[in-house]
Amino acid sequence: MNSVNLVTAAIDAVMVEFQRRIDRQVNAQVHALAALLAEADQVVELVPSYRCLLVYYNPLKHSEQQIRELILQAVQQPLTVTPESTLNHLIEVCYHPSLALDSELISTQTGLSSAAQASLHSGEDYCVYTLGFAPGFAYLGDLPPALQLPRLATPRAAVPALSVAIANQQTAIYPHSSPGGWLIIGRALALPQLSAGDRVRFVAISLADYQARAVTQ
Amino acid sequence: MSNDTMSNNIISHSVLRVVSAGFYTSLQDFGRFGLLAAGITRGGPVDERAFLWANRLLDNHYNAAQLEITASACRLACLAETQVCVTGAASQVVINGEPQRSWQVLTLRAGDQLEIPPPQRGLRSYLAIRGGFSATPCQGSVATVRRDRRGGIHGDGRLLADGEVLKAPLFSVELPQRRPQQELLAALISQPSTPLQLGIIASGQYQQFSDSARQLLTNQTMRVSPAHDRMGVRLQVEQPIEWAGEQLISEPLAVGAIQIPPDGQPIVMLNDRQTLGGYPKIATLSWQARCLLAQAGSGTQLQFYWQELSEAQAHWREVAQFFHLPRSG
Repeated sequence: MNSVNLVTAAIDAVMVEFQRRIDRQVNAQVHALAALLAEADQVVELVPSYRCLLVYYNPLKHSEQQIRELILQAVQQPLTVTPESTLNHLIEVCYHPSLALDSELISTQTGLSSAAQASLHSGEDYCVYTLGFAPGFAYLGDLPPALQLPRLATPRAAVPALSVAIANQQTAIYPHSSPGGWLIIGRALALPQLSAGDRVRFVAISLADYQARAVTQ
Repeated sequence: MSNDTMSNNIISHSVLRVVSAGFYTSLQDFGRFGLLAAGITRGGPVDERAFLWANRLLDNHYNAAQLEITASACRLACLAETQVCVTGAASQVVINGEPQRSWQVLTLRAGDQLEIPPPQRGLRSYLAIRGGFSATPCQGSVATVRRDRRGGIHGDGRLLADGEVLKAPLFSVELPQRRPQQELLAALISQPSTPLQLGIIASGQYQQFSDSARQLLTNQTMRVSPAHDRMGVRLQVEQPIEWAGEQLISEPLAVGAIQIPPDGQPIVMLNDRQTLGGYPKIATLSWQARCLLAQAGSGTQLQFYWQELSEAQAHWREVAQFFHLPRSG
């Protein structure tokens, strides 16, 4: 028996909310429910995230109430954890303030020097919880508590490609230039293809190293 | 979960050459569906009503690809006899210097010069061609999403450029030069002085917003800020909408959702929106409201009003049946 909350998301979509935390067990339930609902004819498209599953349906064929009942039936079943992928990635990141556009802001808010930010951020093993926001954009967690900061009040119009960014418990790499509200802590040299369940570790590199090798990309 | 695909057996011919593409002209079919879980957004026409009407008037499949022309003129030279229809913001079309009606099937002959003038009001015009523009689909769709580097005539999300040649099937029998019976220019174009009235349904974190925040969403006139594109529209409000709850864990984001960032200035998500977002959502636009907002340039005044889900769905069902749509956004 799993406890979920259902809310309207659009004229053709219902959001399933699990426990409100970034947690591998919770995330596994989301993916398990998605696997169950993918079999249902009433479902048009599914979008899993950390602790939510967006369920699209066709209002020509079904009412929202019918979809809510379908979901509530599905969550009666045990939402078994799918085996985690064990792919490991090493991603090289330059944390120099010239690339870490919010380095100063992070320092002001945490008291951490640029070097301390780099050492904390690259000292953790991360898990890929979900993909979204943009093609190839993987949400990683969990950040060390000392680096957990809110998003920018007003999002940036253009975040440079390969920026490594943080927001609350999350960290991610922007695959392409795009608008974004996360704090930029560094710049990755390259971005491998990540899938949900993969493990990621960041490796700090110097500005000189970054410049020498980023040019050839 | 995927689009109906157009027949690949139809032979396409060079029909139009782009003389001057304009500021932001892109190839769009109805959109790239079924890939949100991979972070790939939908694309497609922002003003679905105008797009669907153009295809309907030309007897096209609802998904047939058109050009979406934003806030500027677009000029093309005709290379082979064909029929086109321009809908959306353009109040007229110019062929060889002669003004012709928009929202009407028009016949072009080789050598004709076609101009879609910049809209006097409104933002986006649609140029549809009989049979639809041909391009190689990228993950089931030719819809151009520049940010995702997908779609368009090159398949890499590039906008239309001067000098490019557009292809489409040719037909031996002409369609009549018909137009819709009702007046279909958007409310924005016919009544510029009154604020646009946009229907919204409660959604997302609505229950966690305070009563006063909910009231502020409908009890004040808002303006479209200069920060608007195919991804979203930032609105300007005098009294910011306050979110007193905790920061969200990023979650899936629907087209038409109204996000409230910490500065309290609402952002409406459009077709090229990111698939996940971390700001709380208070409401989602109805289909009709999205089509109206698609034509709202900077400074346009608008006001939201609450609608029941059942009412918004009933309207969409009529639209879907009329245009033979398999699903919504």
